[in-house]
Amino acid sequence: MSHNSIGRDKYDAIIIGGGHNGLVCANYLAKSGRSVLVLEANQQLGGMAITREFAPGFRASAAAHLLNQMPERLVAELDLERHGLRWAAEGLPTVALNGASPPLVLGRGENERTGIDHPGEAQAFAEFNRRMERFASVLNPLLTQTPPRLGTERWTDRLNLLKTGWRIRRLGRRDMRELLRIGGMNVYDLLNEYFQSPLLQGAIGLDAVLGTNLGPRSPGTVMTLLYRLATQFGTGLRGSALPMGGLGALTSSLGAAARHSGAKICTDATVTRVLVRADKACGVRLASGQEVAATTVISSADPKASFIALVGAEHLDAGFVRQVSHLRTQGSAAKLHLALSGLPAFTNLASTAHGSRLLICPSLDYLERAYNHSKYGEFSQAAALEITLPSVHDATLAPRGQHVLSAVVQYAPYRLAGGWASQRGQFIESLIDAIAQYAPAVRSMVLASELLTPEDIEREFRVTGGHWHHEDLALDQFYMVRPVPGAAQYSTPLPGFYLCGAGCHPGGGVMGLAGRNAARQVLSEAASP
Amino acid sequence: MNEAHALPPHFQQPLLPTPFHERARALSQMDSFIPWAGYSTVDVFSTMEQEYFAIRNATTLFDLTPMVKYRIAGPDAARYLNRLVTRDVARLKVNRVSYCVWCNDDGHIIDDGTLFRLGEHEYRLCTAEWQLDWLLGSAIGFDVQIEEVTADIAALAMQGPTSCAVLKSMGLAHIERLRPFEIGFYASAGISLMVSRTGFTGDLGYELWVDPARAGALWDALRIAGRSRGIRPIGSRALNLARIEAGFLSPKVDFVSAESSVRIGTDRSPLELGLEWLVDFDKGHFTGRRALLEQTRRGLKRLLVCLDID
Repeated sequence: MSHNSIGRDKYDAIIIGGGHNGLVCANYLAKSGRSVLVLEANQQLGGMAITREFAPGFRASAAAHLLNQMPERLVAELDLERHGLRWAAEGLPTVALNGASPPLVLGRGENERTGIDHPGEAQAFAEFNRRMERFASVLNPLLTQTPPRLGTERWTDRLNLLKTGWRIRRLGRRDMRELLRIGGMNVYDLLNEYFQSPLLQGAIGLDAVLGTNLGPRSPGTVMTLLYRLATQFGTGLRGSALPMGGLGALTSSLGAAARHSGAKICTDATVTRVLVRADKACGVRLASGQEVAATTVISSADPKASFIALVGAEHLDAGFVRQVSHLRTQGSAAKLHLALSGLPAFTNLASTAHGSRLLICPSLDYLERAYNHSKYGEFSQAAALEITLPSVHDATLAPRGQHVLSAVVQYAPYRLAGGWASQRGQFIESLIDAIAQYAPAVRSMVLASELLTPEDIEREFRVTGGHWHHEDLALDQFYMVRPVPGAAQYSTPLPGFYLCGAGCHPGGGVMGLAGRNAARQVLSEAASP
Repeated sequence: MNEAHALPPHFQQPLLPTPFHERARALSQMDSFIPWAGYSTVDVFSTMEQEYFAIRNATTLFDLTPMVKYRIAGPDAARYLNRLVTRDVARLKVNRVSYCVWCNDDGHIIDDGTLFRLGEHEYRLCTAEWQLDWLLGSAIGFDVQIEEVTADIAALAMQGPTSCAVLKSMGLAHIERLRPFEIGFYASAGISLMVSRTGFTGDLGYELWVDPARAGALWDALRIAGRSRGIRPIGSRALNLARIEAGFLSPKVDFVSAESSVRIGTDRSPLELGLEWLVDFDKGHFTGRRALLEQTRRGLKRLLVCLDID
């Protein structure tokens, strides 16, 4: 569908970007009776959450490859299963590969955990989980709220702050003290307090930094871990799940649901400018030159692109623009896709466990060393990997008998010294070597490969800096200061212009709550002008 | 000889001499120098009263070189400046000057200054205080180049009722036709100079802009040409008296600059300073516009007024 079929001249809401957050936002607005137009620049709907062919017959989720943060409630509210969402696998365990020794298996229940071999470690892990789950339960309700403004006079904001305080207080003295103590710590120190097993430390540490430009010793990484646990708290029993057909199937179902509710969706429709009249956003201009009017314009693009490229600095205050430009938006996670002629055996891994979430991160020091390289513009010599073999569960992704290996790679800096063009092949080889240490057969099975560096992600998905979460998940870019004060409640200094993407609270990951919260905010502000 | 080699290292010379310094020192009777933006400048030559009456009755020379000057150029320069200042400068013509103020996001004044349009895409902004940080921060998203050119240009304010006659006698052809806030280019005794009909005294007056290498020669030529019309150099004290009388504001004196205020509530908006005539809400967006509109809606709590006591 192209943009010459835009339909009407004016919409209640135009949503820039058809990623999962834009589509979630479109769904809620359309369900409440608004006329909604979604404009996606790429040919394929879904933003970064798409499944695409990277070699003939082989398909993989372009960025995130597991669904473990989208709340069950959202899936149910939008009736996504009726609109085509099927599950290839749910509740996947995490397996930390251990080479010559048996791996560490972390299932959801305590009896699904094996390989914790240090004395006392099992109890320590149980205690750690108990605490973290309690903390996550305290933080989880924040995810579905519009963050309050500092110095707020609105009673709903004050009530929410009060409720959060009350939930923390109700943790009891010991746990409350522990939450306040560890809140600003780095995850390296925390995990060294709790555990001795390098493998267990590495597995949890990777969760704290996945998709970010942080290492385990970076400040505030306990908060990013708690945040991740809080987001997973709402996913119910599904846990880490694989949609049938990859992540693209999720956004397809979101698109189908939105159309069902009356939203109009156009792909291959690049917005080049938000139109502003009399200090109010009033529509958009497309690359074709066509203009479409709207009462409200909502951007799921990252904040830098939204404010500086689309709205334009001239419509915003200088101090605000400066804050936006200072956001840390450089990604350092890459994505590796391998087309394999067969299913490679992993040393010491039961053949039934191939469909798990496989980690290569033998220790926190390994992870921190991998990060060191990216700090100085190099790719990791020994990278940490989150690997899935989705074709084990989903035969639609590869030719019969053949398989897809999909890996999130930490770390690949946005700005590689010397540039990516000349070093891409070298990095792919080193990644295949890293995998081959755990699955020696893999090297001879590689039929084709694809590497998406942050630079590729920036170009292909129009995300400034190629950051999966649009900007780093860090204490100073969380909650009521995400992305910046003055735009942290989805509304922005420009009347009629809203944000709904990963750059807003509660951030990235395939969660959809930024889109849901933004829709609620748009509706409530329209109701009480 | 290259002057830079003659100067001691910068850390041994906290205050720089202006290109007029030697001339001024020779005429200084009070040996009263004060620092201004990194330069040593004269506070009083003889007495403040004598100098003040020269402004009002004759012609005066005031060394304006330490005034901080920025060159702002590029395809987006006009759009950039119109977003920076509260006034509509989009229609400022080439060779015209505009007095402007600029605010932070909260609508509080950061500084004031004079904006010279020197070409289609080239401007000069003159300010009392350094502003590079704010100017560069404001440039995000605009195709402009901004550089400080303070040391590249020597400047003299020539103020007083006989100033036009003095310049005319120096051979500045048709200087009498230069309208207020207009810029002209002249040559006199082999010195080419830019003249703007601007000033800080409320009297007839000009500001002369010249290559620092020709600054001394210009000073000498002016002193000779102005001898019969009572020309005399003045220090900043007399100028201050004249500017208060004219009702011109001085940052850090009449208001606290927004980016340097420490106590909450001490910074001021242009509306509170009686400068609403400099604020154009209809020109499109500028930094502080939404905050100033909000202030208009809520009403002003304070207002600076000029009291004229006879």
